[in-house]
Amino acid sequence: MRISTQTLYAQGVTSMLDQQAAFSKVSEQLATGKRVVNPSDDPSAASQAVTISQSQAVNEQFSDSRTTARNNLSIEESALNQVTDTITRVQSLIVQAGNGTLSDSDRDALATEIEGSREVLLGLANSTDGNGNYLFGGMSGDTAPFGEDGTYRGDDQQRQQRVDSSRLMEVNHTGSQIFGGVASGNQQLARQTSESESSLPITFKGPEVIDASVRVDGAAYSVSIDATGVTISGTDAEGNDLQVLDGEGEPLPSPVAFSDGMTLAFNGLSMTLSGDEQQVLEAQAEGKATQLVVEEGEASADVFANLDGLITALSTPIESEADQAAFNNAISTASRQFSNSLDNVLTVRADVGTKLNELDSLDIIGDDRELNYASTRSDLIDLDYNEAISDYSLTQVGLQASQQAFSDISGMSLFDYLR
Amino acid sequence: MASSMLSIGVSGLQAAQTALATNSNNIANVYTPGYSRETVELSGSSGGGVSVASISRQTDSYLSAQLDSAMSASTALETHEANISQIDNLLADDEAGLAPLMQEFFGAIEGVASQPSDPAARESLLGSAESLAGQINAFSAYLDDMDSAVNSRLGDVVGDINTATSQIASLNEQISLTRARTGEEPLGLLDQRDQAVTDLQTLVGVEVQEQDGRLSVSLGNGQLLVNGSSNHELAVEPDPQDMSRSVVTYSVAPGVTSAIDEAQLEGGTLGGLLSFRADSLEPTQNQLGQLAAGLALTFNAQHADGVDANGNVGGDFFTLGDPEVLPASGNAAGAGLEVTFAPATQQEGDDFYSVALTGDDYRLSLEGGTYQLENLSSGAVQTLTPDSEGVMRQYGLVFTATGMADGDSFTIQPTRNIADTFNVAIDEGAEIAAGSSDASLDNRNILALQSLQSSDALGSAGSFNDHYASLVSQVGNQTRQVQVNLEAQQGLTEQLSAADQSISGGNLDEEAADLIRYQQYYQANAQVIQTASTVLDTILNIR
Repeated sequence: MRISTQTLYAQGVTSMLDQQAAFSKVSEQLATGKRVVNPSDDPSAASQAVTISQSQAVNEQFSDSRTTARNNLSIEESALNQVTDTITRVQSLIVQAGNGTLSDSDRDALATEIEGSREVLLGLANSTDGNGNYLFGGMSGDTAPFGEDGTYRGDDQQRQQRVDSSRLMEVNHTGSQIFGGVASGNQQLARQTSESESSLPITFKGPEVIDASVRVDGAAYSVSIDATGVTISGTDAEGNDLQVLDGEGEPLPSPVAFSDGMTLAFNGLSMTLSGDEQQVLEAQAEGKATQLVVEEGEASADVFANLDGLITALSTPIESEADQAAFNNAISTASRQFSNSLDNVLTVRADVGTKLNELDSLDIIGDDRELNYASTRSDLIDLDYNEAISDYSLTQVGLQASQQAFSDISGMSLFDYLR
Repeated sequence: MASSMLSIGVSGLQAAQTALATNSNNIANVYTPGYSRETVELSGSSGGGVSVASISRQTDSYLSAQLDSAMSASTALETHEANISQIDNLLADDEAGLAPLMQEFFGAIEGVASQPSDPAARESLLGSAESLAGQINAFSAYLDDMDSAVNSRLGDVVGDINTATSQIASLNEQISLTRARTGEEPLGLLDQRDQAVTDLQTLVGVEVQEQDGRLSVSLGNGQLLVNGSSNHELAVEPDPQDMSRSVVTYSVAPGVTSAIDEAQLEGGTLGGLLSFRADSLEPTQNQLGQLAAGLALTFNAQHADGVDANGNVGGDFFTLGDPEVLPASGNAAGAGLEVTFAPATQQEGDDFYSVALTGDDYRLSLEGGTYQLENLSSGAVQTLTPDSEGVMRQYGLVFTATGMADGDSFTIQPTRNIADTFNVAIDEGAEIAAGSSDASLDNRNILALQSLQSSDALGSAGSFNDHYASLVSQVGNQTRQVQVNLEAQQGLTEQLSAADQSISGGNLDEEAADLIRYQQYYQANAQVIQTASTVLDTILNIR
């Protein structure tokens, strides 16, 4: 075909421009390290990269969220450790107090030490995190959750954080969960409610669970011992009258005469009453009586009220057999109360520990995910350097060849030979 | 004999001169755009000697018409590509694009969820909300600038089209006059007219027909731009349905213009500008607006569900203007239409919100006593019936029409310019409604706000990020497609250009050979004259 001079030059120039564009594209890719610089380079990859970037960002948000959650829970855990230590210390003081050889002043000394522990526990109950927010006030973070008298002023809302796409985690516990009464399902508690001056010298043991299958949760009973004998009144949670059995499971009349070491069974629980029968008879004749309250579930008072009760018991001088019995009963109750409190704290600590473990697992999953996202994103838009460097050389050769061709063509003209 | 030899020699000398002149002209114009190579045709005279039968242009009108229309398509694609590439580049920015700013924003929400009582976390959330709003505004302003640029370019291009058509009309006239006067082909004028047609085709695609030596030029819809020695001018005027938008009009009678359907204006810079505006720019503006409006509406709705640090119910988190309502120019005097966004609605059993808002434009008209709502993107028409309070609802919009007469219409662009109005409404961190009660550590509402990030907050358009990803993919795909089409079209144009040039273009080597040929031809004829002169001298010297 006839080729016009203009076409010849135009083709040379077009070819150089094309090669330059290709060369520049590869250079840009090498400079940015990306295969997809503009969305138009690979629209589907660019759009997927936007989606993956968001997933990465969300994943990172969750990771940040876990860091905060971990901090909160760790601070809580360390406070709970100290609470555990303090309650354990109180428990060992209760054991000491139960030693019958102690004098009133020995018990006063114990009361003083327990007052110290109460201060420590109150301080721990009002611990704050690094930002000055109270740990155990629920959602209300800016006022101390426990008053000087031990009353709880916080709320019962646990704060949640989204620590993974499908996991909202409670990142705090409320003061009532930790320092409050016995949680449902914990041990039952018996408490002597009559004043020691008017009490019979009877001590109790228990209640113990003897048959969990017949127990009804949430029931409350009172055991009255007076001149007529021992009477148990109350109904279970379903409103049924109590059936009281003796140690062998035989039904007992009501009231039943007191005898030392008698066992009462009701609602799957058993209690043992002890006391010198002669002394009890005399006291009964004087009109004295004893009342025991058996509490289950959340009915019992919080840690601070229990401490106050214990301190009062320790500070009260023992002047009679009845005083001694009342004191023994108080110590027995306190021992059970603090065992329950410790259970509460340990339950919360276990929950905190479980959550910290879960956060660790979620971190590992999150890190894996991040790796996947990063590698997918890289596959989508990042440059394969080997390929790019080879393209770089190739386009360079192409550009040089087109320049050489242009230069040769422009140097060839018939006019050059016409002299 | 000697005298006829002399005259033969002279005729040869003249033919050689003409050939050399034509040859020089070809060499001189070898790079002149639109110039067609000329060739000399000689014929022998019955009385002896040679005469120049004709000098003709070497052209193939079929090829050059094909080339013109290929160039028209190339130019349209070039214009579209140059413009859409700017949006493509805008979206390419990994650091300053919208996606990273949305991610930062939701990251800052997470910060407040972790530390609801920390003023620093709240301030940081406000800061990132401001950056996000700033970037959405800047993106929108960039698109608005492109829109204004299209409007002003349309004016320039239409001016150039009018110049080209008046030039063609005037060349039509000159060519017929010259033909009539000299009986010869006015080669230069023909070249100029062809070039004017080529120029016109790069401005807008036209149909060209030759009749009695004159060219008539018409648009795709058959409207004549050049008819003999007169031309019809185009103009740019505001769209009667949307005064902010320029449309191309055709003068049907003096002082009477009618808008040309944009589908009929294909090819050339004009076609490229119009297709860029309709297919790329306006949809991008609408989608950006849909994102901004969706963010504002869902956020405000969820925010109002919460309580701020001062114990007050959450106010608006973002501000958002109202949908654009454009009355048609012929509406009755009292006709009014108010359109507002319907508040985002709560989805059952979930704490995220969804809006029925789309990125489409609508036209509400009163026809035969009923309100018709046309979706301008899909063409779907629906009848709307006002409720007892005179309010109509559709597509996440609330319409209140007043005083509309039959035939009145309003164009509604809910999201076209809404991204401009997207701003942060609150200025104090304490006003962030993070809680659902007024406890300082309550973070329940901020958790709900956070979950908006991954919820299908934009209804069928998915999450905010899904929507943005689809915008990226759409612009990327369109750019890619225009680039591929442009490459193909340029390849075709180059081939046609080479084919056309192979006929009408000059080749310097060929001309150099001809130069030698005609030089020798000239010298030979001069030799004939010299010989004749010698012969005559011989006779005259006999005595």
